[in-house]
Amino acid sequence: MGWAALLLHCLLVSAAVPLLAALGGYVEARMQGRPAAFVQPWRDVARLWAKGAPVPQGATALFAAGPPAAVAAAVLALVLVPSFSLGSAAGPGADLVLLLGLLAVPQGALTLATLDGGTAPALGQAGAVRLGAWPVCALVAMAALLLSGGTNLPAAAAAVRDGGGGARLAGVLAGAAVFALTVSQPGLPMRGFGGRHRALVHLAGWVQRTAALSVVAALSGPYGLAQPGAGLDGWALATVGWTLKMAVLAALAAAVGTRIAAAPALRPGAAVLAVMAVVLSGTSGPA
Amino acid sequence: MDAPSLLLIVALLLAALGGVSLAAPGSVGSWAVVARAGLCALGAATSLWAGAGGGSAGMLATVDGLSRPLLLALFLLGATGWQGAAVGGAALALLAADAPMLVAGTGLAAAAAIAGSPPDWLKRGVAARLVALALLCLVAALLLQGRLDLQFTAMRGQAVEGMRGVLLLASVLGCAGLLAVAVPGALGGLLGVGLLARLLLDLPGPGTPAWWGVPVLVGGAGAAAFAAWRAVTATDLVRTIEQAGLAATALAAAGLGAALLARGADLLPAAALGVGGALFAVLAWGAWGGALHLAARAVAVGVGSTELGRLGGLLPRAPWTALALVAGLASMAAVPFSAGFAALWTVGQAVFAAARAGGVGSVLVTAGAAAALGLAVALLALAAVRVAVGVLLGAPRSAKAARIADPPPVLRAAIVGYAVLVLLAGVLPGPVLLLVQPGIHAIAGAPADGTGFAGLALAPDMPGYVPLLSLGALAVFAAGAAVRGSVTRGGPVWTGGTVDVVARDTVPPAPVLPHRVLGAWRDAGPMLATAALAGALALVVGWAAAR
Repeated sequence: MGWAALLLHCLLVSAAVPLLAALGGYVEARMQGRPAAFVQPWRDVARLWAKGAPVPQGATALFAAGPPAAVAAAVLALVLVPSFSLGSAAGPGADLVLLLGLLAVPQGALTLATLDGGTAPALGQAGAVRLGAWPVCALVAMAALLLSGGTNLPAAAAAVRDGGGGARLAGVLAGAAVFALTVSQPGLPMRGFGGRHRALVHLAGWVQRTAALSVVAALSGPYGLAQPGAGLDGWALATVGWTLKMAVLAALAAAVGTRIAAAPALRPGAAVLAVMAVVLSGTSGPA
Repeated sequence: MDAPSLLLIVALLLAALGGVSLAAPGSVGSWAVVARAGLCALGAATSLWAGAGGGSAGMLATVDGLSRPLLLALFLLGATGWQGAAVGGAALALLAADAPMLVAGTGLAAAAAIAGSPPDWLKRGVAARLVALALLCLVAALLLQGRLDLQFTAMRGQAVEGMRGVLLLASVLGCAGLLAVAVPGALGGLLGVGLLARLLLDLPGPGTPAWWGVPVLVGGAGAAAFAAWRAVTATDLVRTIEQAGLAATALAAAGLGAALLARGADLLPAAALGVGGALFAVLAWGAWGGALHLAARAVAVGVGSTELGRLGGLLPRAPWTALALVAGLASMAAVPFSAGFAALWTVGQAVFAAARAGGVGSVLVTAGAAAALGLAVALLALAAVRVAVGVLLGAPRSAKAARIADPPPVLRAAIVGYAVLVLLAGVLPGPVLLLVQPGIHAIAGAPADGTGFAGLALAPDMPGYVPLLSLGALAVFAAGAAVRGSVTRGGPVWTGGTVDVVARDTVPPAPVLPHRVLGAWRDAGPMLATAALAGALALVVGWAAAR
């Protein structure tokens, strides 16, 4: 059943990635008072894909390797992260430290590629912003370990689901910390990429956002998920539930990101949430 | 001849060779470098051969579970450029079976490293005073531990309680910190980790109080963040690598602190993770630090300088050197599937789990340490990006950098060998962890295979990294294949880098949307086929590995 769950998970997230991107784009356009078209992100990517893949003069192979590497890392994270069931065959590998590391790879790969192309802005502010993300990630992983005895994400989600009020609140706080990080971080570096490379960067951003929101859903709302022995009806219900949760999270992320993405208050806020999650899980998790 | 005796001879020969180099620098040529590398290779091979049980050469030297991985890391790094006498002295300190040899080896290593350091290092007089103070602390610690028993076998297991314990802890911490500050080339960090492991974990035995772990953990995590910051701000390639090495040893110290904290609270699996992570971090640093040092040496020979401002454009000109740099920098930045990531993961698990050692206080202390380690990793990643940009990418920033090429075949083979070692240690960390199992057993007394990280499988029923890595590699290949056919060389940077100036007028008008989508799907065919193949292959590999 684990492999069947993994297969369904892959199909589900393959459909969810473009849909959530479209939903996010729609909400963002509405919030900014622009005319909103649900299919606009797909149109943009299709238009980019129809072009060539220009490489700046003097760039090495690293420039062209950046976007594929970013997509691959984000896809790996998306395959590992739990969705409608905690019993996927990839579940044992869904380690939170590994997941957060994989979600950071696109930024690194694309930063190097744009620097190689000579089209990147200075490392300055974006780098400084991301420095603060790592301590928060470490604290979130620590909260997961204190809740479940390990940093495996499905195990942490199960501990939140089956735990008492303290564990549930800790899960909500840890998820909120990841959400705040996701919303407040600057987007993937685009400057210098054109055509198919740019399309791949867009795709990496969509996949990365979906994977990060799946982490949020698993930590803060692991309810209504399919049990290991559930039949098809259980899977269907859990799939609908996960889809709804992700739609709400994607819309919320787009709305919050549109309004206060520039406000740096979310970043220390994420740290505060993560510390609270650690303290709560340390006092309410298993001994 | 048994392994400890052979290692003792190697250490003495290294010390003698380094002594000659220091005393008469003009009298030795390149043969001294070759001899040092050969002796270090012999030392590394002997350390491996020493086996899990180790052994001892009379009352002088011994190889046990703690010293073997540290010796291996020392020889891996020593072969790439540390001063010979410093390597020999450090080897004597790590091999020591009694207090006098530990003090003598530490003193020799520190003195030789300072004497052989570049003139702009910390003022030599200051460094010498700091080392003298460190040795005084070491002597005090040994006297507090063993009173007048000089043999480690007699010292081992003696309870150190009350004020004597406090003084012992302060002496060892002071000694390790002073060595890390005063001894150049991150050798002080390695010596410090060895002293922490021997004097705080091994000799006092399992009766140490849990709170001993707090200053070690906090100091290690803080030192890691500070050294990582120094790595980011360094303007020289070698300095950056040295500071990153110091950060790696500080990470190991944090792992030992977590182990102390956990062992004092009877959390033996967490203690096992802490010791295993610390030893793994040092071993991994031996590999990636060696690769980076060798690459830096090749750069220094080719360009005549390792100032980041005079380098650049190495990737297309010296691809094998660039490979070693990329492999080493990936580990330095703890990129997933690298040796550095495996070390960070293991130490991180120990630090997180040590929060259970007490009440809210231990949760807050370990949370602070975890946040500091997270910051250190972020800073190291930034330093790695900075080095990659400054050395590998862009245009050469000096005439010599524009003419650089890969080094001659022998050095090139060594560089590639180190790069392969780093990559293998990252993808298959299990065999590396086997090397540290005896050390874990000696300190934590717990079977490490019960902690679920044998082979660094992220869970007991997970077949390690290989299926994941296969899937990732195939995904990169698929996405790359989809783009490769349509790559065009664009204009220069000042046009945005992406405008094909010549072909701009010949681009056909954009088709209407349905054609565009259909065209995209037609081009995406090979990509989807490759992705499907990749997925199928990854599933098969994963299934086979799980079986």
